[in-house]
Formats: sequence, C-alpha cells, structure tokens
Amino acid sequence: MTLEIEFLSSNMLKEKKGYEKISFILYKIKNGKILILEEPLTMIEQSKLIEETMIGVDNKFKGIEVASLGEENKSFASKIAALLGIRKGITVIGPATVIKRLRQEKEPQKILMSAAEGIDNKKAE
Amino acid sequence: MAFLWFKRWLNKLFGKKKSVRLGFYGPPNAGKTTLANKISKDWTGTEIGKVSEVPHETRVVQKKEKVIVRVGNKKIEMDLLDMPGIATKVDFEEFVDDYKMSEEEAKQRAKEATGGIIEAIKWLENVDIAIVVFDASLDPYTQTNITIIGNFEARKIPIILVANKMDLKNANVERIKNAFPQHDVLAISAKDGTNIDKLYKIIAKYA
Repeated sequence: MTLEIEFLSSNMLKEKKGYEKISFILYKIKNGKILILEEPLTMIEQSKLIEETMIGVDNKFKGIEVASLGEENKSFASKIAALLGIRKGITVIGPATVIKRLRQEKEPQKILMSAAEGIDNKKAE
Repeated sequence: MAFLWFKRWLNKLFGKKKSVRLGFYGPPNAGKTTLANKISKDWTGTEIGKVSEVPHETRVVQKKEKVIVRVGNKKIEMDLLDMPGIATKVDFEEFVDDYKMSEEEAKQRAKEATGGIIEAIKWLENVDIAIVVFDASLDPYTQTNITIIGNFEARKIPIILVANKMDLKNANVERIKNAFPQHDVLAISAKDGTNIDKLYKIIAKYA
C-alpha cells in the first residue's frame, strides 16, 4: 500500500463552502489519503465533518483521525482576520484505518501521528 | 450564530419560564451516564440509563424531563439530556476483539453508535447548559474535546467542564485545566458522589 499525503491550499479550499468542502475532504479520505489543509477548520466545520463521517461509516470505512493547529483568535488583529475569513493554521485528517492516532500538544504546538497497525506490512506488499 | 444567541437571550428575558435543557457531552466512556444517573437519582430517585465499560453504551439521547433541583433558595426545573459519546471513528472490530461480541452484534452496535453521534451533534445547539465530562485519567487535549467545547463557545452556550473519575489513581485535573484554561474545571467522581453538591451550585449559577 502506498501512503498518499495530499496538501490542500487555503486558496483551493476557499472555493469550496459548507457541505461541498466537507464532502470534498471526505471523498479524498475515503480513498485512503491523508490530507494536510493549509487552514484550521472552524468549530462548526469540525462538527459537520464528524457528522458526515458518521453517516459514511461502514464495515470498511471506520472513520477519521483529525487534528487542527491554529491561532486562537485572542488578539484584535486575529479577530479581524477571522472575520475576513483569514485563518492561520493547519489541519491533518486521515482515515482511521491508516492513522491510529493524532496526538496534539499545546506548547509548543505539535501533532504527533501514529500509523495504524499493519500499515508497514501493507507497504511492503 | 449571533441570531441564535440573540433569540436565546430574548427568550430568557421575556419568554415563558421553561425547563433548562442540561446536556451531558464528552467522548465515550467519560462517565456521562454515571453523572446523569447520579443527578437523576438525587432528585427523582430513578436512574436515566445503563452504564457499561463497553464504549458507546449510550446510543440514543436519554432524557429525564422536568427534574426539580433545589440549590439554596433556588428551584430549577431541568431536562437532563444524556448524550451518546462523540467520537471521530467507530470500529466494529474493536467490539469483537476487545469485548468479545459476535460480529453481527458488533456491527449493529457500531451502526447504532454512529447514529447516536449524529444525534448528539444535532443537539449541540439545542441545550441551554452543557456539562462536558472528561475522564480525568486520560489525555484531555483531543480534537473531539476541542470540537465539543469550541462548538458551545461559538454558540455562546454556558459550559461546565467536569474532571470525572477523580477516584482513579492516575486522575489528573491539572491536565484538563492546562488544556482549556479559558474555563473553570470541577474535579468530581460521579461514581462516589464527590463534589456533586458543588456542581449543583455551578448549574444554579447558569440556570
């Protein structure tokens, strides 16, 4: 199995709104890809992503692992940027059959990824 | 979002006094049902749902309506809403391997669990106060917890964070405080009733 990691720029994601964005992400994940988005998902997007993921769970697709890093909108400038739709950060999302766990750390911000069991064997096949 | 908040505010100000919808949120196995049971039993004498070590025991929203809670001179009428645990993945094979369920039973449980998660998410904007329950022995800084808390913050719904299972040896309330410093965290044990009286006082503050 080849592990595929795809980078999705914020410019590209900007063109997709709401449900279209979530289904675009999920379509790629269901194809086994790990996605790195050049933006953090909003909280509403994250809950929508979980909801749509659950709709798609079956005997083969077990769900996702997701982690987002981003600026907390505490400063005035970042609040204005957020209102304008500019969000700095990244999101890592992948299928739960490929990523066992995405662990997040706060300070310094980190995402640690553990591969699901059997990934190495599959790669060697 | 602002409209929803404004509507809630107007309702609170001028609307007919109704039951406070208290939602119990968190990941699977954090002790949401144990806590909801404790509160329900304290004020009605009956429990709200079944507790199990197997994740996703609660697969539909369990309700106990018109529960009257008295805190000091204040009388609060509440609807207790015990939510299915929110997760980003549900693997039927875990039920087979870890809990020795039959494949058929495990697939059915997984299917019901995904339905429960969807239902819990749909309820996010319909609770008046959210109690977010953590298993204090586990890492709290997970995307699921961040998403749950972030959603309530975005909707301006009051949140009470509780560090449950403080009766466990490796429970650590500080990890939760550090992960979510913008909120107060109450250390409790729903199992043995530790600090539940303090929880009632906090609920009364928001109700």
